[in-house]
Amino acid sequence: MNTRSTPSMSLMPGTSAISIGSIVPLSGPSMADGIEFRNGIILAAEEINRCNGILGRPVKPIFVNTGNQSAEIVVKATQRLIHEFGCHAIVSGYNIGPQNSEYEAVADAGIIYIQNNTLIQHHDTIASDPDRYFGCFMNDPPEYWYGSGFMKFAAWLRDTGQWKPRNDRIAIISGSRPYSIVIANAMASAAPDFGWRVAFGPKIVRSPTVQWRPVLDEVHAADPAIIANTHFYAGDLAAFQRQFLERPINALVYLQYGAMHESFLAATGDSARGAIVSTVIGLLPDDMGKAFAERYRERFGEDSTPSIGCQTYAALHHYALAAAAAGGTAPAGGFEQNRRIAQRLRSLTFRSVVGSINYHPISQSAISYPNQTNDPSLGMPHLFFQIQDTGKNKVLIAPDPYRTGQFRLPPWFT
Amino acid sequence: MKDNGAKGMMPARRPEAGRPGAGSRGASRLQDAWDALQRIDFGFCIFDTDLVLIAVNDYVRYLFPTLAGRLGPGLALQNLLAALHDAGAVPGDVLPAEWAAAAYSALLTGQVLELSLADGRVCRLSPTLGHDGSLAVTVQEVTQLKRAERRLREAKELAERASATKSRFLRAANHDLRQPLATLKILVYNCLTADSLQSRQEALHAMDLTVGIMEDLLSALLDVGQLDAGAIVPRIGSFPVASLFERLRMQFSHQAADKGLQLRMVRSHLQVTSDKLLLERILANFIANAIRYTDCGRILVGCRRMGDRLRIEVHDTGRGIAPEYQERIFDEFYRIDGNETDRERKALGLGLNIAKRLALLLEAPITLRSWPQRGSVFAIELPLGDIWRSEVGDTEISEMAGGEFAGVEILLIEDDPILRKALTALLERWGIVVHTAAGLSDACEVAMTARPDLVISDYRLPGGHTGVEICLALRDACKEDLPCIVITADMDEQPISDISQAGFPCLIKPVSPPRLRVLMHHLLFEQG
Repeated sequence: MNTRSTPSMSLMPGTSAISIGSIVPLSGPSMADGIEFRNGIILAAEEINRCNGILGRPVKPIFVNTGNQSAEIVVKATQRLIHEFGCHAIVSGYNIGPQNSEYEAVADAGIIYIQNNTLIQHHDTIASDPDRYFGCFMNDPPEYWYGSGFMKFAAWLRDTGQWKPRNDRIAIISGSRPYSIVIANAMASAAPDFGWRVAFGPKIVRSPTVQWRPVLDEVHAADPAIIANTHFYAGDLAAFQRQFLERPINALVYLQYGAMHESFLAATGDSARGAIVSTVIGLLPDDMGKAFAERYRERFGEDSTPSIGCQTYAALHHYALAAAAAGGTAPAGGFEQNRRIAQRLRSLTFRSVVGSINYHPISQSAISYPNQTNDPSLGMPHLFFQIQDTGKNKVLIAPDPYRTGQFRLPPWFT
Repeated sequence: MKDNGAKGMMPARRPEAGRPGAGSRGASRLQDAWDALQRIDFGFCIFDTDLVLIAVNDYVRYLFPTLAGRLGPGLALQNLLAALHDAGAVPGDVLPAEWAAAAYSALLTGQVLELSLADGRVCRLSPTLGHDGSLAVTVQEVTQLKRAERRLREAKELAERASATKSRFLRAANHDLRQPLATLKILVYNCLTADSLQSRQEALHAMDLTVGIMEDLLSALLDVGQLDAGAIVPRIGSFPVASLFERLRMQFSHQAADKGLQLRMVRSHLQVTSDKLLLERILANFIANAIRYTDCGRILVGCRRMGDRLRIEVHDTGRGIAPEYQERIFDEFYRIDGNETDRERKALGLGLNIAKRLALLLEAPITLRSWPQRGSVFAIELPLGDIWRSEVGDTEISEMAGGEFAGVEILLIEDDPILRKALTALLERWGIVVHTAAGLSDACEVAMTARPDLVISDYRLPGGHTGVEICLALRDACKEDLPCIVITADMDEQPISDISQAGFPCLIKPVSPPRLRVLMHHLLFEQG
């Protein structure tokens, strides 16, 4: 019998696993996202291990719950992953609350930390001491780009004749979290560049809240063609949309990231139809993205949300690639080897299911397309969806070349 | 060799005594001399007084192989010249008889003839007239010499062209750099006479931008220098017209104001597809001319959308251009003579020519409408841009420019200069405008003018005052809900209790930036 040796696709026997930590909210208000972040890590680790791990060593995910994501909990979770579990890297979704204080534990240990906090303060932390924070990467663009990105999007709708605004006025409402304030300020700052005039706001509304009628009354008085709400809690946004429809005007409604959630659609039903929502990191509905979504749902069930899990999934694959190219991983104290990995993360643009992860060489956050680059192959697309049929997926209406559908005039327009 | 050499020798038809060839010894010498003449590297022909060939060496036959059979004693000079023409030594479009007559005449008046042969060689015929009417002609191939001469001539012409280009470039540089330089001059004056810090800073900011524009201009001028060499390749991209208009406004607003003119840029949100820098150069020339030739009124820069194209127009209320000059003003160095001021006469007439050449390169048509004594409209038409492919602006963002605290004003009261400096640096990195004070009197004075959004005060301050007392005083003076934070290095119970009883949040030194950030956020955005 003719036997042929096949390339080994199994892990080398006897090799120790590489522990990869993840700080995820598996309870509390962000639990739904935390579960998906965990799923993304698990699926990526399984795929990496099926392909020989990192230079023959399997990766082993370890999760620590960050609950309500307070600074104290997140910092402790980070320290446990580094010192108790000996993790070589931490790959996580977002943790709102620690204000980057978890970076200190990472920097002291000299390991790699990749997260999706989507915060501009990442840039300043890195800039304050690039050598110390060499291992800290943000796997998506900072929230700032939501603001200018939306203004560009609205200009595109107008200039291509898809929508004829009745005036150039925009009303901007913000929640009271720093994330929302930064986006609202960026929106106001970019508006004139794209032919818009801020007629109201940015008005900061203490959040969480479901009482939007007072601010909506003020918005009505400003008579805008666009109403943007940069608060991001899905339930609060659902209340906003319902209350807007009590007395609608011919204005485009933009809702921040929280409206991406299924819970938003469940709470709003048909009243969500026509609303615009965006994300600076999301699952692309192309062949690669669809195949991933299929694998994801097969692994975690039909009710799972690959559009959230894709974030950590893409980040772990990118890390594994960079670590292999750098010659392996290292635990706490392995500064030299981890610096090599960091260098590879910066230099290897990785086309993943969320588009291209291309880290900015200085700020070490994913470069945003079309906000920071006009080359879609070199940036993570800022995706704009419109809720058109609540029974189906949101329709990706921008940017080119990724969009799959057309903008439709919202049903409340008369 | 002797035989060959003898072929070219012909006996004298009219031998004379005393000449070589008379007698056997003489004949032998003559033969030796002739052999020597065969070895020299040029040809010669000797014609008698009837201008009939009496001697020719083999080198001539070598040079004109197609005539070899006819070159011999008895050939008349005129026939030789006709034969040369027939052999292609002369361009075919010149009639044989005319050329032969001209050549004949030239040789007999001592002029050198140069023949360009069909095979590319060049031969030079140099006549020497005998005192008795005979003629000797030396024949040399000068092909290499002529090639070297041509190369030298071409190099000289190239150098002259380069020199002319350089001169033109320098004139253009002088012309175009004058605009921002004039702006700088005004700004320097404004800066020197500024009566407030704010107006000085505004002038400095405008100077910074103008210097940037000069840098760009120099770079563009270097490119323009290469226009002549055809070396400029436009870099076409999409970009917002607004960003271009802003740069032009910064460049020209001071000059227009200085002349008492109103410069209005009508804001456009549209994108165009072009080379931004080259387009800026074209529009800058339009606006500079508009300012130069407008005595009163205004300059208006705006856009008109025309389907999938955009026309950028520069209107002025100037003197206008008569129809007969409307094409010529785009010629190089052309200026309309007339009632120009001294300043206008200094213009070299290059701007519109450069604009025209750049527009040709951009494939963007320039149009001009003008009415004498009423004004002009210069316009350029461009394809609309694609917003997704549009250039991105400044992609280096930071909290200083875009953070949640950007623009917030804080009064910092700290008597230790080192701590004050460190905390100020931290707050400024977050985009905060920091006003500082070292004690109670300073703080009250600053608070009344600056109207801060928040106060951060040290607990122990000079004069026996505490941060709590100062914060309460500031609330009395400014507003009762003015947010305040008191910081202390004192871990004793008394100060912390004092701060707490007054209802102020307290931070312990050294201040943790994340804690300070969270507290500030809470006081500024989550309360009230």
